[in-house]
Amino acid sequence: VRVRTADLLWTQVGDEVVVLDQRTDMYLGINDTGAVLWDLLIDGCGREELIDRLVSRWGVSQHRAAQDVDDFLAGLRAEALLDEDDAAS
Amino acid sequence: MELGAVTAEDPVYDGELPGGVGWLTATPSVASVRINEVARYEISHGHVVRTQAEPGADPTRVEVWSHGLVTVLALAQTGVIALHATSVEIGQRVVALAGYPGAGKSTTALELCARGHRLVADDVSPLSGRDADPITLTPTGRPLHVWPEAAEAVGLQVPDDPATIPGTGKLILPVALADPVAVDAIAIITVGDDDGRVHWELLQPCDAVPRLAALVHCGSVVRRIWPAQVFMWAASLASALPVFLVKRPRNARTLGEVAGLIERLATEQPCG
Repeated sequence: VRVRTADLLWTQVGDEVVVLDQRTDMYLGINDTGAVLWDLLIDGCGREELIDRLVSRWGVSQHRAAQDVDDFLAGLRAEALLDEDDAAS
Repeated sequence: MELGAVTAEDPVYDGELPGGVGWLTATPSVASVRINEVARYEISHGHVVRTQAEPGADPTRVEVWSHGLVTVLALAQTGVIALHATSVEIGQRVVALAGYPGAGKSTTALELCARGHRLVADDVSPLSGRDADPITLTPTGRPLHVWPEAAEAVGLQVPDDPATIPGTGKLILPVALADPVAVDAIAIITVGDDDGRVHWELLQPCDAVPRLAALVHCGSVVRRIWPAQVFMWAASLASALPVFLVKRPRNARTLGEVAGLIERLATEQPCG
């Protein structure tokens, strides 16, 4: 899975990430947990790797991490922020 | 392309200005502006290289546009983005009062001046900061534009025959060009809560970024020509400074209360 790079601006603000989708002029604030996942998604990363990162970073259960990752990815898909080819995988 | 300065690359902006007041052709480094019945301006790499008044144009209007859009474009060409804000030094701290037209920025600032504080910049507040440097405001010397009744209400000295902005009646009062100063906080003033009270909150940095980007001076033009720079600028401000959101009722009489709140925020709240 990979973040769409075209028409997208993002930067770290404190522990969070702010994203501007230039196609829609919409801003998205990503909290500190999501910011960890966002960094991985910039270069492209598999779902399992994202889950492992949350488990190691926050010490949460595998089940809880999987839920958070799926919710996060669903949110990004809903905003069309993932590359379409990767988003379908 | 109609005007001479923009020739080297395709313009990012080539169209009518908001409100149909004129035409702008611009790349990130050069711009040609025509304001209907006022003047043509050419701006290159941060410098106004030509101002040509239209025949019969009111010189006051030529100056007003020069201090507004033209200055804002020249600054942005050098990487400095201007916040739509009036900035005041309160004690040892400088607060930029940001807001859309009609929010009460200038009137609040005048009220603060009447309480002994110092006006640093009216309406155009160019803010820059790199890496760990403090956010710095470099005033442009733009004159104060103020309604006569606001000037009277705060006891401002007004000359016998003051210049006014044609069509609005606002007074144009010269101000001394202040030195660059570090900015300690931003207060965004909004109008609309009609419960009769003034409210405030400290914005989370993530929430402050879009609000600051929206309050870039001449925003619809500047955001189109320099979208990434505006985004990064807003993020750097939100990271470095506390950004307060002040909501006031439509009643202009609450501006004294807003001024008192700004004083308290400047002196009691942690600032940048």
